[in-house]
Amino acid sequence: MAKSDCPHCGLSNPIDAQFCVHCGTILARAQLPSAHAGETTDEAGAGAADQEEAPPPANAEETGNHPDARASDPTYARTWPHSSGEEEDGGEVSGEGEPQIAASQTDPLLTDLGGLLEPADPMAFASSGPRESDPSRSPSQSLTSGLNVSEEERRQLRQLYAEDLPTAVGANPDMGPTTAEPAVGGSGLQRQPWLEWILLLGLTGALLWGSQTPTGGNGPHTLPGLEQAHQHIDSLTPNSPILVYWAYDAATAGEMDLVAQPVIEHLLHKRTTLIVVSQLPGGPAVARRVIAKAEESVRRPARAQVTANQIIEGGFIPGGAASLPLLGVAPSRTLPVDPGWVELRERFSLAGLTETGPVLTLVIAARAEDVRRWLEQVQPINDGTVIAVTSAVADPALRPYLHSGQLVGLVSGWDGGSAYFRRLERTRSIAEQVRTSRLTNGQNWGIGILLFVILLGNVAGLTERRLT
Amino acid sequence: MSPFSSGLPAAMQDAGLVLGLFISLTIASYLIRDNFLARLGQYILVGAGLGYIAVLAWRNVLWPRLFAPVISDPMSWLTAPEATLLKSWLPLILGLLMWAGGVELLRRRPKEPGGSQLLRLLAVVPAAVLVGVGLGVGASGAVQGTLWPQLAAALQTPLAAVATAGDARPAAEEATWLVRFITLLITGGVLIHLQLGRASGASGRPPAQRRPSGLKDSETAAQKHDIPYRTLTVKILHVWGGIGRRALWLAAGIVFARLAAARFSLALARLDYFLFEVPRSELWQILWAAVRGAGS
Repeated sequence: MAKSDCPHCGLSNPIDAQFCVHCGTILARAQLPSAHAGETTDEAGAGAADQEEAPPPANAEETGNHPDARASDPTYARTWPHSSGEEEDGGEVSGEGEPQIAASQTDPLLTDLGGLLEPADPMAFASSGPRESDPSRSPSQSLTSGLNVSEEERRQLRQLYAEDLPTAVGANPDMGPTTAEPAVGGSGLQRQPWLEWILLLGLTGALLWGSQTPTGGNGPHTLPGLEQAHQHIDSLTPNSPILVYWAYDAATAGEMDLVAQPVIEHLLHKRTTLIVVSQLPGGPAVARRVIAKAEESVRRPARAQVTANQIIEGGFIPGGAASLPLLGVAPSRTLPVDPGWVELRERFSLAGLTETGPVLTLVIAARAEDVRRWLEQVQPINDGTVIAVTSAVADPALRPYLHSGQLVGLVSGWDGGSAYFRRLERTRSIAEQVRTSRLTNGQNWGIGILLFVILLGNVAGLTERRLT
Repeated sequence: MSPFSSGLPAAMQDAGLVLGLFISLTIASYLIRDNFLARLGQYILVGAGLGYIAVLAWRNVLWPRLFAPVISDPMSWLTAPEATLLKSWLPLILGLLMWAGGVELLRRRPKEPGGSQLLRLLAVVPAAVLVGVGLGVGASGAVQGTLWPQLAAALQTPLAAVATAGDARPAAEEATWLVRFITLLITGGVLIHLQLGRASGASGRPPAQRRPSGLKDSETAAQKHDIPYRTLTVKILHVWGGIGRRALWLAAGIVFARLAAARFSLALARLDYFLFEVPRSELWQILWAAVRGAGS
């Protein structure tokens, strides 16, 4: 009886077997090129064209006739980063010995920068874990034994990731029946473009409408913690050392700038000394921009003299949570030594910070995790007073810390930022006031539009589901 | 002027605004479909970000803290005290090991055991130090910064760490007995639900997996054996767990609402940038006038 070797486990199978009887690997696709050596890839392309018009046969993916199925097939995806079609075909046609797996083993982890943006295949992750963790097992065994999901689960995963992940440069988006299927049932409603366009137009309209609305009005609701933060900063004496832990970067600056700027303005107006540090690479650059805007805003209306004495750039501190306790024990030794401000550092004697500690620590973070990390790693060491300035999404997770007294103040979200702005009206420029008013009014109108779109989307989803 | 004041001339700042507009539009074109420009914008973003991180790490950390001290006195390892060795030479050795191991991992796995395999094994040492220190710091921080203060605050126990957190603590005073009671009630309820509650399936489907110690089972068993106090206890736990389950959904709703508000702010700020900030820059007005002049 004729036998063929499985390309994954290497064991023998009957020549006409569709699957390996030992590991379940699909054998039909591996045998196809050698069985139909005279046929070119045109036939596969024709098969794909047929499948665009008609639903694929039950074994279409198994036989590998569909190019998209071939791209998303987990057994092919294991060769990530994807090699060119010629290389794959060559590997299969040469097929004597270990065609497919050998190609995947010899590939390095990253071939170029494109690998960073290449969509990851979940099945590749599912199968790569055991291979890396258990050296006693051969790669081929691990690949197949780690893959204990059914074909139906594989199909669902492919659909899920085909919807959400971008395709590579030059690759045609998968428009086959596999990815179009969820929209038919109404479950893909969140990807409907008309809903996205309505939302975008609504936002734009709200912003334009907000710019026409005069300043004033009731303003947003003030959450507990903001008044305490304002009072505490207002009670600071000039030249008090304030440690500012800057934990957001450009990705969330659109929201966080609105919240951070009024608090920074207030601190500058009180003539405190700010020592700004960040554990994000992009943090110092964003801090520079926001503080420059705050300086400009404070300087103009109040004619306040903002000098270099007030701001010291601590810079970037690597190490994550592990390096934070040192900031509590010896801040001056933890701060990076940047040649650009060595003179400043000497002049203002940051070493004194270690002895007295900061009068106040301002944690400006987009994520609750960063504030919590400070409260867990630094505050128990230096017993410092902490005010958190955070994104709206971080607010619910940080409320308990405000109630427990670990935070003396909490300013969060655009509503918190604009409420804080309203307390600083006398010290801000007209242009800044107009911009804040525009954004606040835009937010107010936009929230209403968002609720309307969510309602509309749900009604449309229910209707669509009922009709189908 | 402070170190944070922008030292760039106005024209350069405007150029940054216009360049930002161009890259934003290229990435925003993904809304229509995936295309070359959208990918170009992403590559620029990733490349510039990685380059910036590399420069920052070298300028702020590697050179002033590691290489400069070592290069200034290369033979210091012979005479330096232990503290200096720990601060300079040990990080250098561990860093080199990790770097070499990382480079080695990018290559194909060697078939024969040798120097490459040894390098991979040695690279585990700094990795283990990193993971171990991170976990240790995280666990101790969670206890001293979250679990204990939160428990003490909920029980209204005088706690030294909290008491010295600041003189002005009016926010803490707002945490009334009612709030503390609700906090304990919900925390306990969620714990009971997660530990003892039945794992119910979505949309009313039968549970995929029944926990052996499910509250309902215990309740039925207690009733069968007619043990009043046990029935009562299980009943209370059942109700308490139900409160916890509903509180979980309520919390999820609140978090989602605030998440929507946060992302909303991001979108509005970007639109504000397109509609107001960029058109008001001098460079944009010059470009726009040139385009209009060429058109007419």
